[in-house]
Amino acid sequence: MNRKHFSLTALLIAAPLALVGCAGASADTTPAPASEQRSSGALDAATVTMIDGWAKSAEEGGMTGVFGTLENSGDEDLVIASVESPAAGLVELHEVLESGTMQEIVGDVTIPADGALELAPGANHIMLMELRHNLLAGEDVDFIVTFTNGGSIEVTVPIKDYSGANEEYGDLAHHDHGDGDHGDHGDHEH
Amino acid sequence: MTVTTVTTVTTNTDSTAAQRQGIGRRALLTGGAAGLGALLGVGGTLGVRAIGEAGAPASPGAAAAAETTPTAGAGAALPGFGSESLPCHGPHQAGIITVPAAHAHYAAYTLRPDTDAAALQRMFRVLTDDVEGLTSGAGPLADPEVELAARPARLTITVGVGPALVDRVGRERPDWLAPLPAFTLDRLDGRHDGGDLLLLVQADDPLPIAHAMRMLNRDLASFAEPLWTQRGFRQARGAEPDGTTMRNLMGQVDGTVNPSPSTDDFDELVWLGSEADWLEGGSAFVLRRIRMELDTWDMVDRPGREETIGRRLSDGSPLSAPADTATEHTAVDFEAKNSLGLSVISTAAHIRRAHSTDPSERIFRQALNYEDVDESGLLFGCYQQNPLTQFVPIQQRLDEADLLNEWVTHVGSAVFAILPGFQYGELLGATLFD
Repeated sequence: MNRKHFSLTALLIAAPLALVGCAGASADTTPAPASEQRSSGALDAATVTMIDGWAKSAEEGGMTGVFGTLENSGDEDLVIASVESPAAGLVELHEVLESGTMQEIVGDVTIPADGALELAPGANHIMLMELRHNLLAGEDVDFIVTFTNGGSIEVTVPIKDYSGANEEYGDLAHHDHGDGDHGDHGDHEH
Repeated sequence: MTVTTVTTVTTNTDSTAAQRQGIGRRALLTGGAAGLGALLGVGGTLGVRAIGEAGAPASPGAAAAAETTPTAGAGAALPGFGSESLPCHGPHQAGIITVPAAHAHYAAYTLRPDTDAAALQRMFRVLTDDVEGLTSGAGPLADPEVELAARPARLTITVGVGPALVDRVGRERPDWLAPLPAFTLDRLDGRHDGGDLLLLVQADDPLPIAHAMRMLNRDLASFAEPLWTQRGFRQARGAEPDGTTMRNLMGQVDGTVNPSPSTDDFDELVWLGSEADWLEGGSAFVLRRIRMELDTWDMVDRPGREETIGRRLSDGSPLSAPADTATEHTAVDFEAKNSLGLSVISTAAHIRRAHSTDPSERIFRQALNYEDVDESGLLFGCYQQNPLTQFVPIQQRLDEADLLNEWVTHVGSAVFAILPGFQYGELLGATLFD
């Protein structure tokens, strides 16, 4: 991973979210409320940073990928519970199989403690679907990653024109094969 | 159970620090992997410095290297000037007064009809990242060939704008930002004129230039269409002692009289001030494509060639000074007469016609040779505050009378406003949108 973010863009706006609730957070036993943690120096705070984040430009109604490296400098593994974006009706975490077919990742997606999750064309990525407006090169797109421990981060990445990242969808885009159970997609292009 | 996660606000600065650390780690590993080669590289550098300090001439290329930092890409510790990165930030854009690079690529574009001010702001955001990523060696976002960016070899990207772009953002256009007045001997071929946007990409290695142009063209495609490109070259890096004036393809020492950035009046000749509003810190750039008629030049013997210019071919010294003592930088005596009472420097010699007694009629020139399949010549670029009062009077005199005109023809002409420099975290071209 390299440096970098777009000029003039604060890449990651963080929202210390105070959270109540314990769903799926068995690894974490931190008892103190967030405010106290911050005031006490956040000794056990988890810090997630998006490095070199960007999204591929796309048209309203279509879908596109978000790429970059999510770094976790904290000392606890962070499992992604969900990703949301005001620009998309649906957001999924996708992987690309050896066959080149793209599909939603089944199972936990973890950013390891003191580690990173690489998102790249042709590999794991965040998929923004049902886009609510055009994503134009030189603009930004926002999304929110929520972790199973209840924390979340809001990330802003710039949009770039890009010719790659054209993986096929195993369950959506194989209309050329015409065999199927998704015949209603047969006349869709994306 | 209460679960909390505190995330910290990451600012540009923090992010940069983290990245630098990452780069440092990577560079260290690469250096270790490089082993003996890297060690030899370090030893060689130290050796050069030691010799320089002892008074021997500096190794060619040392002046260029002195301006640089190690690439932010992979392999920063590897030897070779490919590792050198020239900082792109500052009060002025890089690539103007920096040590001239061996290779340059000019690319002009026409804006697409729907590229309005908002689209231009997006375009400059993309360009800013490209300039930073390509020149640093880290690679811009979404670079599919980031390895080609890693060894920039002092890559610079200098951006200028033409009149139409200024109109689209609604800024005031200086009167000089327009096609130059026609000169009687111009034979513009229509393929190297004008443009809405100019990129000047320079480096000591053509490979990073090719990569940068590919990246930039990709990113500009939705905003602008290519209009023309012109490639130029000087002597290869290290081929000549630092500071050697280049030779053009006619064999002449070309560019002896040129204001030095270190002189007091350079700023007022070249850099635009606060009166230029959005162009403060920028410059006015003229690019002339000057075709050389080398086939007929071949018919001219050395005395005729030297008389045409007024300087000796051997070292560029003026004909008005004795050959055995004069140097390239000996002052020209335009009044000198020979034993017949004739002017030693011909009345129509190039250096006499180019010379002005008005010190404000000067320009900062950065010329390159070009050689295409069917044409050779000089890409004559010059920076100034106002072409109408600096370049144009000089060219008018040359257009009226210059012995050299027999063998040179101006076939391309363009004027661009070179944007002010920018700092990290700022937008290149920000003042267009204030």
